[in-house]
Amino acid sequence: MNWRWQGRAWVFGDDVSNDDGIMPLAMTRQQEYDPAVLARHCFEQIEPGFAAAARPRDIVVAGSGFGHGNPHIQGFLGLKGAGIGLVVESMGRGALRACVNAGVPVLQAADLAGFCRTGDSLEVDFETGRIRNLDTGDSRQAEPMPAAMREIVAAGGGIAHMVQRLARYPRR
Amino acid sequence: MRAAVGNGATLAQKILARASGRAAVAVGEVVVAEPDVFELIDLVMPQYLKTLASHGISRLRYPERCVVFADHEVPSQSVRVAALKKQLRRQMQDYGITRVYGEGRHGISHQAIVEYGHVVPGMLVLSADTHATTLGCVGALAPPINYETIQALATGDIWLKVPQTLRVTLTGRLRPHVMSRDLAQRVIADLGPQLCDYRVIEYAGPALAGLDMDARMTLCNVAVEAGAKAALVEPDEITDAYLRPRTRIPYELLRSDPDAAFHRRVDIDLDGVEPMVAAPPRPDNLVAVSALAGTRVDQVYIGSCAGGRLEDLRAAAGVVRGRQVHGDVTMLVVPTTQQTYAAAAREGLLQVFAEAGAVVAAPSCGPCYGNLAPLADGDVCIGTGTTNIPGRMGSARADIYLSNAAVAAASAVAGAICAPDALGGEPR
Repeated sequence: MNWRWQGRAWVFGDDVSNDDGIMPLAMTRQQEYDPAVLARHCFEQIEPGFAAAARPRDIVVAGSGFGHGNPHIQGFLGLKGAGIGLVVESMGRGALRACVNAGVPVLQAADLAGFCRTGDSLEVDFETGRIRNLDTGDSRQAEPMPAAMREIVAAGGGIAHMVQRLARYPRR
Repeated sequence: MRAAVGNGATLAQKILARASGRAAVAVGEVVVAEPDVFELIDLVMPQYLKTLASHGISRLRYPERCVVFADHEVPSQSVRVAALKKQLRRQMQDYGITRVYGEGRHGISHQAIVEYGHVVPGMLVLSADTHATTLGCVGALAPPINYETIQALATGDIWLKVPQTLRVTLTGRLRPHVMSRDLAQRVIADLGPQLCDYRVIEYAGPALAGLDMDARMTLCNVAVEAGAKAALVEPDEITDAYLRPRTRIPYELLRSDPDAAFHRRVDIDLDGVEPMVAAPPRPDNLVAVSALAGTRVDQVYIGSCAGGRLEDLRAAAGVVRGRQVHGDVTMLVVPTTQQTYAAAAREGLLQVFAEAGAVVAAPSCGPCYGNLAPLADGDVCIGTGTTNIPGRMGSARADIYLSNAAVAAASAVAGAICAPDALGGEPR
């Protein structure tokens, strides 16, 4: 998998909640799990134009506490369906697990305020943690994505990763 | 707060070492651990098993470790869910899952699984639902893994990072009218998400002797709202007395070593805890009850895995006994489990609620999942649900306040947020 992405930035603030932030909670109640369907509802309540305009390999850049609240999978499956990568200041445990499990690459970097504006061209290397704003020349260094998490994302998400692992398992 | 350094192991380290087949594990390392129990819920199981089947996976690694509860929507409120549940019975048979608590023997999984004796100190339990941290009430480590349960069912294991532990020593005693919910909210507000994220909150100290299993469940439940990976109460005589009649699983009262390396030690004096209300939009946004007094309410909710236990039902009934719920308010009482429901009936609490004009519903996650009695735009609800994130109980344009059961019940009578002792007048 090529871990160096180039795409446009979509900038969000702090405390974007998972339910009714990344994804309408109604999608969880309806038990929708199809990434292609969910992709059409990403950020519907807080950035209504996102789903129609976002392109694969675009980068959502957000502040601290991204995806807080119940770590329902639907929001991250939607981002996966839309082909989005994430660069956030911070993300809680539940959201991070859900993100990796959905197969969405993510970096956490301090001090993203003022780093970019929506529409800027970014280059993000999820393996090294290097983040560059190609329009301003500014850059940040994040913790690289741990290998264990990249393995899951590279497989296409937790379920595809499971299928790969099971093939190597002794039968019980 | 003080940091402590030692060479011993925390309870979380001991549990993860055993579950990953290691002599010891270091904080921060990623281990692949096999859980002792999978805590599962009927609403998502049809999808999970269907997903496994669609990948050609026809067996679970440890079907005998699965325990399934009906809880999110009981009884079914749509043809869609009814059909899912009907299909689930066959699916579970196909996968060899036999420990199933269906409607009528059910309850919110995080409490019912403890009541039915499936969880003992030192266990690692994986759960498909967020508030599994509750299971720490008996000293079991139960990090919620939600959707990853699909993989864990198939492989019988999961990757987990060995967490740091925050050791919270409780001293003193809760004053009258102060409930475990107040203490739990206070702890998460004091510690904050920065400190709790990815860490285990471990409760210990002399005050535990005055906190029963209901209170311990609440303490561990609310921890997840601050981002904790899990919560643990140090097992003691109360744990033992609670579990003995409920389980045949052998256990010991496993604890952290005295010289364990805790990330921080925090002391909390129970005498200083006051009833507080968590105002929207976050559970740690605590405000004094008096500061919100007079805020009109449309709905009052006593229930959820954070607050529908006997402790809560008794407190709410104590407030509404001989009084009437305000004519503009819908008061919903949803006991957490069928066992709680039966106990409340035996104590006459359900009669008190019915006579006061409250609606008593069958145990379920119901209102806190937003599918039962959803809030409309502009509604205000106060209650004991798990979270006040907008949209949680229906409309995202409704306001949710969280409080202990007595404050919620008093607000039902007053028609506005109100402390119980401010209700005035003697109950009729």
